[in-house]
Amino acid sequence: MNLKLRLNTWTTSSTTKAKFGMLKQSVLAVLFGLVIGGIVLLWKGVNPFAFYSEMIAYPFENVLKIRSFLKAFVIFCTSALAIAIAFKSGMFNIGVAGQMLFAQVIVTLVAAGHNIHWFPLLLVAIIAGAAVGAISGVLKAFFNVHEVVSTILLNWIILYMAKSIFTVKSGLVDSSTGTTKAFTESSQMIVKGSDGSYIEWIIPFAILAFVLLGFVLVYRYTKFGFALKSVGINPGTSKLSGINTKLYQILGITLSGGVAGILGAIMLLTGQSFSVPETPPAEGFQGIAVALIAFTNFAAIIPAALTWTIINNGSDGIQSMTYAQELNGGTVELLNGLIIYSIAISIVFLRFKPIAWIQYYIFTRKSDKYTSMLAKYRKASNQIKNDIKALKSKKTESKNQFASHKEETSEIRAQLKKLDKDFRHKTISLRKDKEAMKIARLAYIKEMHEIQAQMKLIDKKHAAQSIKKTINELKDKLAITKKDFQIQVAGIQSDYYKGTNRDFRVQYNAEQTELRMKYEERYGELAINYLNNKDSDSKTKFREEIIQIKAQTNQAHAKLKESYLNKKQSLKGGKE
Amino acid sequence: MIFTSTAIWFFFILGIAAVSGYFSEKAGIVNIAIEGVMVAGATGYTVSGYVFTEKMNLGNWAQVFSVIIAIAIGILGMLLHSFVTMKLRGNQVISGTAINLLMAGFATLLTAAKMGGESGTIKSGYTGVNLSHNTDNVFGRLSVWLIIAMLVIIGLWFLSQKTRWGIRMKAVGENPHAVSSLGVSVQKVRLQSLIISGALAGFAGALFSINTANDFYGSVNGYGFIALALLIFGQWNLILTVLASIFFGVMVSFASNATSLSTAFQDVPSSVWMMLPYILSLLVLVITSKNSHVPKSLGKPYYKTN
Repeated sequence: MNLKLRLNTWTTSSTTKAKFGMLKQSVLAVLFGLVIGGIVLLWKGVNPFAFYSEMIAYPFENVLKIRSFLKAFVIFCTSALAIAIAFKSGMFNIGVAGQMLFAQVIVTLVAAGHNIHWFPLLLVAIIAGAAVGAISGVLKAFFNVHEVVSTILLNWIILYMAKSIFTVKSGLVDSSTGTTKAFTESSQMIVKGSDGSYIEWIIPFAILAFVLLGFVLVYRYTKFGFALKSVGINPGTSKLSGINTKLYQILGITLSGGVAGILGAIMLLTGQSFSVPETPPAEGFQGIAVALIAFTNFAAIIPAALTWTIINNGSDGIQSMTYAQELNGGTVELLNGLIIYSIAISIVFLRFKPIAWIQYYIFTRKSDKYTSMLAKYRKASNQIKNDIKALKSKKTESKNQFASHKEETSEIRAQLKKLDKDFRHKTISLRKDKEAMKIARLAYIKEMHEIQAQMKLIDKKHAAQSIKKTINELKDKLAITKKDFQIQVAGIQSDYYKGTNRDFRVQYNAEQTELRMKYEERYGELAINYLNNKDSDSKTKFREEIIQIKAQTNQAHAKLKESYLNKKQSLKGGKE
Repeated sequence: MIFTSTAIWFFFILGIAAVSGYFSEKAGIVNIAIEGVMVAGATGYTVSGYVFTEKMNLGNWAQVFSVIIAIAIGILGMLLHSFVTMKLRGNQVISGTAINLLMAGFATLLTAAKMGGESGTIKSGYTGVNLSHNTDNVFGRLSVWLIIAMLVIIGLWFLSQKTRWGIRMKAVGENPHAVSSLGVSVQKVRLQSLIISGALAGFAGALFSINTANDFYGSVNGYGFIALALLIFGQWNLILTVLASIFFGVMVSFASNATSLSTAFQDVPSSVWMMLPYILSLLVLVITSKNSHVPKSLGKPYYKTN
């Protein structure tokens, strides 16, 4: 096949685009998190540039630090892999901590004091972790217990179980050191270096590489892996396509538990002995962050874990060295939290296209259409603004008038009060004479109306209020003009993209989605018919129809793509 | 004695936190952020307490302001969550996890500043406000804040079950499009219920730091997660959730005192007793969850259609 065309197809494919979008999102999210973290550091009185440069340099200072860095990297990677596997099948496994702890407990019970090679122990750990994962999976699939809750509860159950097993009383724990018996050398995953020191990272690294590669291949090329993925993406469709969704969900979290078991074994067997932690081990939770930064993509876990290890290892080192006074473990946690929050809002970063913005800005500012539009808009808006200004001065004028007339009005009010009082006095004596009372009341009302009219003349408050109303109306008009102008400018945008690749692509994407929607709709109908029909003849008929539709759609799609690529090619030819 | 003050405090902290979860999840928004917002509330309470008592010498009554500050911070924290879940329509679980880490980080960072106690803890400097001075009686030792918490729970029960707004809130979690078709703004109702949720989580955090008296070390011991579990345990039903909190509070109190209750219990290690509430919760979940009613559009972002 033509290499150029192939490359072209690859770069224009929507999956590639989506992947690069995710890459952009996660890189910008990490940077954004670090910037906000830098502001917090500044507030704490620490120079963020010095902090970050030291943070990056710290893990690579000497061989020992590089070794511990690599070990931490492997741990984060494995933890993230465990969580990503569960995520792919639509399960949120918070229980990696408990699963790895269970694996550690079992391995310690088997291995402490006995001479067993690490490889069978690794298998034991995998089985133990997978078993705990499977419990959550079964509870979810058959008992409708949400996996987040069951894994949280299992974490604590396993922790307390470990505590009650490894007590001084039971003889498994040494009372002076608080740890179990040491593992023999063949049980430990260590390699002797040329200088006689122990290197911890090589075997875990090899295990991780093997497991990661295995999972990538399985998920990419096998039916089994596809089923695991599709259960996570759309369980309903998977079920319709004949995948046993419950089974694959259970398998997903079981595999995740197995990888958690590997994590447990790696952490346990690179050390000398086992001591029960006070809380579920944090390594199980940190993988969540790494998996999220990687958008649960297996290959992307590696750079994500690398970033994460630098941030965690490096800033851990710094607080033990230079800036010990102001900072503590909270700094790392805060940076981690900021980065994950940035990941959560990372959809914002997808819209972050500074170069395109600048190009577009220059294009619009250059075009004649824009200048004429701008002139028109400015003229209209200036007129309205002037009107508003004039009205405002009028308003203040009338307000001032009102203030000066206040005394007069208060006088009139006093008059009014007096009139009222007089009338009452009068009516007391006239109470019996109805006719006289009527006349007096009429006179009173007449006089009152006169005074009120006088007052209205002076009262300029009403004028001010009506002016305010017109001002508000004008302001609304101004906003509408501005909006119109913006819409007109947006019209230029479509000019900007007319006849470009983007224009074609937008069309192509729209047509593609339409095609797919049509196909899916028809497919769904047929699939339901197929499932509802018990007659085998009509079943085959439906199946044939489905295959036919599939072929038709594929054909139409190929045609669409070809025409798009042709258009694109012609664009290039025109440029040359 | 099962109804120790530990059990009562445990119940109220978890109950308020679980009701906080109820208000956001019933409106259709997954809320793992309760833990983080509780930490934020507790931090607000203790730090403001330190400032009010040590720096400004305001006295013990200033804790009213501290609680209000905790609630305000809780609302702010939950607004961060609403920004992701409602404005950007992002992943609700990720947002919650991020807020948990963020708030824990902030709190731990603040504890380094040596406020009140040694480095690593913050001292609020307040003393408890109890119903009576008779310290022999458990109910006499009951804090005033717990009475307020009880009233808050009752009020919220009324709000969610007996008012028009409550029905809207629940409907938004089931079928937002149907609610929208009746002319009710879905986003508005969701925002309101998230604000209530945040206020409650902040209050729960304040209760936590009132209970631990003085030392706050930047964590609420995972109570937020347990509250979430209790909400699911209570099958998204307010009364069942509150009952579940009572059950859990009693169980944990029993477990932590088991070895001192009877000599027969002493042979079993205390961690076995501590394991018991979790195992029982899991068992109850297994038995009851089959019929549990999850809000139908829980975790799904809402897109308005024309």
